[in-house]
Amino acid sequence: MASLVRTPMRWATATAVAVLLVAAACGGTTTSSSGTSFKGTRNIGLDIAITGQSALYGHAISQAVKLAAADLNASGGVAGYKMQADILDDGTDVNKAVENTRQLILQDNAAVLIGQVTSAQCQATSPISKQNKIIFMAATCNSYQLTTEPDLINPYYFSVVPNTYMEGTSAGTLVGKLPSVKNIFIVSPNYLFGRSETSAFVAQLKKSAPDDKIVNPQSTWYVPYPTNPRWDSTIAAIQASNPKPDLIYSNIFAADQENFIKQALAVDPNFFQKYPMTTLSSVDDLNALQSSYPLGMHLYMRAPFFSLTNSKLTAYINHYRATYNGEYPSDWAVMDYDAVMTWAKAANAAGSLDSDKVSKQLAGHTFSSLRGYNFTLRTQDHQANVGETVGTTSNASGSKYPFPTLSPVTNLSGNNIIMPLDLVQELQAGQCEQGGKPTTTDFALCPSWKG
Amino acid sequence: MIAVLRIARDARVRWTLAGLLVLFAVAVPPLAGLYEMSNPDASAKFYIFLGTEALVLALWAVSYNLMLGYAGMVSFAHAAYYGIGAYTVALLFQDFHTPVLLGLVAAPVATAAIGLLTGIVALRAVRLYFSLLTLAISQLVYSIAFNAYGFTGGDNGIHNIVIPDALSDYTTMYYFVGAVVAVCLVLMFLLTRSPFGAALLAIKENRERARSIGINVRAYELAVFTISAMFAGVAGGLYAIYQQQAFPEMMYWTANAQPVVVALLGGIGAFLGPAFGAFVYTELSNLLSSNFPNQFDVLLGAIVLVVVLIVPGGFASLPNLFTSLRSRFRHETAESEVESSGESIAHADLGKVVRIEAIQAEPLAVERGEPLLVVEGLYRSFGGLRAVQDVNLTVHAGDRHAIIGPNGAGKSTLFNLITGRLKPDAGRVTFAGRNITGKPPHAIARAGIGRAFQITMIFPRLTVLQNLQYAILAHRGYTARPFGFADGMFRDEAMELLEAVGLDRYADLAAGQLSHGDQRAIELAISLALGSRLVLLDEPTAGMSAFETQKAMELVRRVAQEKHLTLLFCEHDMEVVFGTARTVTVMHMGHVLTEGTPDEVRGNPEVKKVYLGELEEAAV
Amino acid sequence: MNASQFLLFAIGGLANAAYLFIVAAGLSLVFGALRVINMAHGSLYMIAAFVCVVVANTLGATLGFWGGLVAAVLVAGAVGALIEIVVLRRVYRQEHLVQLLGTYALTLIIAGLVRIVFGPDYRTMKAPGLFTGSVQLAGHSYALYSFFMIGAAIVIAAGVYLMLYRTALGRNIRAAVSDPELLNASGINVARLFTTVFVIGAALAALGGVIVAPSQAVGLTMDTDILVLAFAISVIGGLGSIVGSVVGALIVGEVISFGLANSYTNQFALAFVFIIMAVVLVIRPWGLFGAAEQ
Repeated sequence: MASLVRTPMRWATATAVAVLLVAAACGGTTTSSSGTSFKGTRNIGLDIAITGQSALYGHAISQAVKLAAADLNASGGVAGYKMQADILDDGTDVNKAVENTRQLILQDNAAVLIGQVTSAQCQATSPISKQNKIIFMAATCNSYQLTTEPDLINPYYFSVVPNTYMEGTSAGTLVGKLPSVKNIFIVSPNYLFGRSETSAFVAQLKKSAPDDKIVNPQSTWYVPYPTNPRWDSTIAAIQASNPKPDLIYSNIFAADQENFIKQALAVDPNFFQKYPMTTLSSVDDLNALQSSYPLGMHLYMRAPFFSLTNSKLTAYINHYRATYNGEYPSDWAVMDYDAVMTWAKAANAAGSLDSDKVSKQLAGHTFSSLRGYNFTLRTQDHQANVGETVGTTSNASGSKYPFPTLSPVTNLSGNNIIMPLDLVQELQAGQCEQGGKPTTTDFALCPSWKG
Repeated sequence: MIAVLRIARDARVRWTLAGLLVLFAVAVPPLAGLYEMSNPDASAKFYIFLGTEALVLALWAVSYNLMLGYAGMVSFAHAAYYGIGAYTVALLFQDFHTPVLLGLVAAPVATAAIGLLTGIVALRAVRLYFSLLTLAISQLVYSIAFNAYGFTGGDNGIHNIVIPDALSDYTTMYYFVGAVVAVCLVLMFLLTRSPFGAALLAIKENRERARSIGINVRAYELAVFTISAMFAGVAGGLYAIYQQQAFPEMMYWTANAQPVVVALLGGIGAFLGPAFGAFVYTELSNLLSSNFPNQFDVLLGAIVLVVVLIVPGGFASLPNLFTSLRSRFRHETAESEVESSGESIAHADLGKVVRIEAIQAEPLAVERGEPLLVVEGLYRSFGGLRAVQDVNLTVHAGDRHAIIGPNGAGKSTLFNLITGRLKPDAGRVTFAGRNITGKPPHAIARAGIGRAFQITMIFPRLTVLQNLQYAILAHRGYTARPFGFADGMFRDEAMELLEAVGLDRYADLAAGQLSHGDQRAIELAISLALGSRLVLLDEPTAGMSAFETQKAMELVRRVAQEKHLTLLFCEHDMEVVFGTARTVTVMHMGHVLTEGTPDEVRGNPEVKKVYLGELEEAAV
Repeated sequence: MNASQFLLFAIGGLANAAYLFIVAAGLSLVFGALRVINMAHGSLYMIAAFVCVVVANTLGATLGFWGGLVAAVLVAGAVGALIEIVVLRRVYRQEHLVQLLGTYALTLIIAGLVRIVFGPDYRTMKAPGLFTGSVQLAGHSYALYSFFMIGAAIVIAAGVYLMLYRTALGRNIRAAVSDPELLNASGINVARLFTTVFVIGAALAALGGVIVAPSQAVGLTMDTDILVLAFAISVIGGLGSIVGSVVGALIVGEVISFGLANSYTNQFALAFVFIIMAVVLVIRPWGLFGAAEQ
């Protein structure tokens, strides 16, 4: 009896309190430290993995978004509004990401959403952004299906990160060029991202080097994700493999990558000399293992600051380090900052936070990036023609950084690796699906790929 | 009279609370709208969405409580069925473009089928092992959903389920979900009130007793497991509709915590308790995660801990807690202190007893004096101990047959073998010509053998009246009915029987609150209520005073005579034995020593040797 | 699969079995003696792992691991004692559901506190110098640390066995396992015994966490990941039996190792563990080495 009676009273109390708070908070306009007056405050909604498997990345991302908000406010806000970073933790969990996204939109009235780490999460949260017409800036999750699969196409979704087609095929091209590599062992996480990128790699490899062989059966390519933190079975399988692999192709990341490398090195300190490996990586991953990170690893990275030297980036590095205790901005910190700034520029151009108006200022427009070049968000799939950095880990830069950097290193240009438009069109038209099932959209099934 | 008033007040309170909850649920969208109007930062949609979550959670939790609160089963597989319901809608949509409303109809069918199959496996184990088995099953289902990438989309889950345009409005969706949930809740409620529900309560209160009044416990548990799973499937299907997605994490074993915590918070003892808990939990979660995101786990855990340790009845028990605290302040006699004198038997109206319909024994084709129960060559060992060895016994119809023997002679084991609680290693038991060797207890009860236990085996938290009513319902085969109002059936017959044994004053009190002597009287009444042809009484007068004993045995004798019942009883009280029995069998060390009339047995020197001293006393 | 490959997977399975056994033994012991299912067992494992990592990284290379071990066991033991005294004592006589929920609530509280105290990031530590390095065996490399894990498990198993069968405390514990009613009548201080057993269980969970910490990243999902496997092992081996925990852990460890190795069973290796668990519960619910309840 007690609690039920309280409920209507609780509404009343809550209303009263809320009214008081609102009255106190917005008695008119708020002012920033520089004395600018804003129309009000709006939220940049970030639901990200502060805990869980991808916590390593979530840390950098949340810091970058907060920094971006502060920088925007220091220069007058966005379309007259003060911006606030509204950050929620999803624990790298898909379900929680969905819950949080709804909360960010419905309860916190976010003006823009920044995408999650994993493609599984983005796959689940993009439809919510679409339903509620809120712009979704993806800077981490990158499966190409997110912008080309018919059921997932979201007019408010924009990607400033190289997608799995770009990453996977560029890896396939590079590996195909290596003459000493004939046998390849694949290790990939079993969810949309892993599948998307690995199949892109395999499809490209088949074209670039048809004689190259994948030595482990397809059913063992994908490891359950989130993974068992123990990799001894995979390590044993690699050792037991016959023929012996010349290269391990992988796209495991964050905690999984860290665990795998550590455990492999424990089994054999020369593991990665015996079995060279190519994998997705980032400054966060390098920094996690620091001097223990193996040398001679062939990495593909999305925005490593040490290989993309330019004045904007240098300024950002100093700014970031000064704000965050000397930490180096990882790839995610670079890309997510780009994401927020890109959206802000478009919103300022539109003079409004309305998603439809801002979208018009995003699609087809060009923006500058901390990565040292300008990129354009294509109208067809809202994908930016951003580049990818590939290289081999070495100590060439001496002890400048606590982790190894890449040398030799190549910055692949976005225009060379971006998905050709005819593929985009065929994918979006649903012409590249296996037996009509939506979740198996695969560019390798597209007529223009096959033909 | 006072007792009756108490129950009525309790029932009125419950119905009022239920009504308030329903009113609140109906009012959520307009309330949310009002809230939004008064607070520009708030969003009505968000609260309506939360309300939809609460509705689905309520259905899920109430369906879980069918098993937990009504049948006493703790299952870890409930999240699996919830997930299967969601995946049914999702997969049908994804692979066959089935409209979600049709998928919603398919969801309970699929979950009922899978629930039945897994339930058959799960119920091979009991209690704790049953719970662990459901855990194993749940993880199996989860790993299929999680790993079968091609089939279920693996860890991605399934998204972008398209819903009818009408449902894309938050308010319409809320009322749609509310309507489905309401229908399901009403159906479940009717089920709990039916004889089927009565059987479940009996099983929860005392499994063994339920068996011996003729309830096939395993069948009922399987039925409630399946039904519960079915409604969980509906809840899951609704989830897929309003969230437009399905994930494997819905089925991970820790997801079971949600309906359990919700049920606990709201109160396991009340039908709508979990529904109430669902609304509280949803609001609480939202408040905590908005204001204390870093401390969410700690705070929620602390709240659950407090509820578990201090208020285990959940919110639903708060009124009781409140009234008992208040009455303690006022030095009133709390409800739990019942003055039951324990001498109800002494006030038994024997004349009435013999007229009662309830004890009408079923006619059998066995004439008075002919063998009714025949035991041949029965053997039973436990490890190295031979509890019963080569026992031969014949009980004649209409006879009053006693079995005596020192402790450890095998009397209780023999009773257990006859009533099916134990299976014999060898030998045969025939009843009225039918072979009942090794049959399960409920079948033997149905065949016409009733039993009163040595330790009081009643249904402690059911009322005295319900104890009798349910026994009658079970015996007459009504408990299979999922409709009807159990507490209204056979009231008159049960009340008559209670009056006859002097317990009518306590009809509406919880049987467990009565004194030991009165509980024995209930025990006796139950066995008489069953209308069995043969009644086994295992030390029927244990714990009774001399006066009670006399009255009780008089009752038993008269009933047996008038109703042509056959009695088989074992006793330590020699006065009872020699006063009541016409045939006496003596057992020693697992086999039959001798048999005969009371006088024959009393004079037997071997018996005297075995019973050094006891017989001398009785003879005096 | 040839002999050296077989050895590869077999030893991998043994290393898994090692830490799984240590954790499961604690769960099983607590259940056998106290008749309580402790859902918070995994949480104690997690606390220990975090404490060990933090202490080890602070103390540095040589002293690190051992200092971490001591600290972890002490902290977990203390938390365990606190849990037993404050929470468990109230729920001993109650239904299993109440115990499950009470200890589940503790899981939430501990997980939340660990996050607040240690932060959300994964942490790593190095193995003690003595056990770093690799070994070549039949043409394949093995981490020396794996053998340490196996050795540690054997030592701990022997220790627990000796404690149970050669000490007065062990005698009392075995009495509690086999005949709880007698225990009440025997004059032993039951409350103190129960606390002791629970602390031993917590210490075992802690040892498991410490031993596994150098070989994988330590994070906030450790508690639930280990718990369901510990349940499976305890069920298969038999709740209350240490020998059962050994055998159960061996079965689970090897099933997972070989299951993952084989391309047909790769996706469902863990599922096999649950199938075995289900089969045991149907056919012989008290496990391979447990005692059938009367």
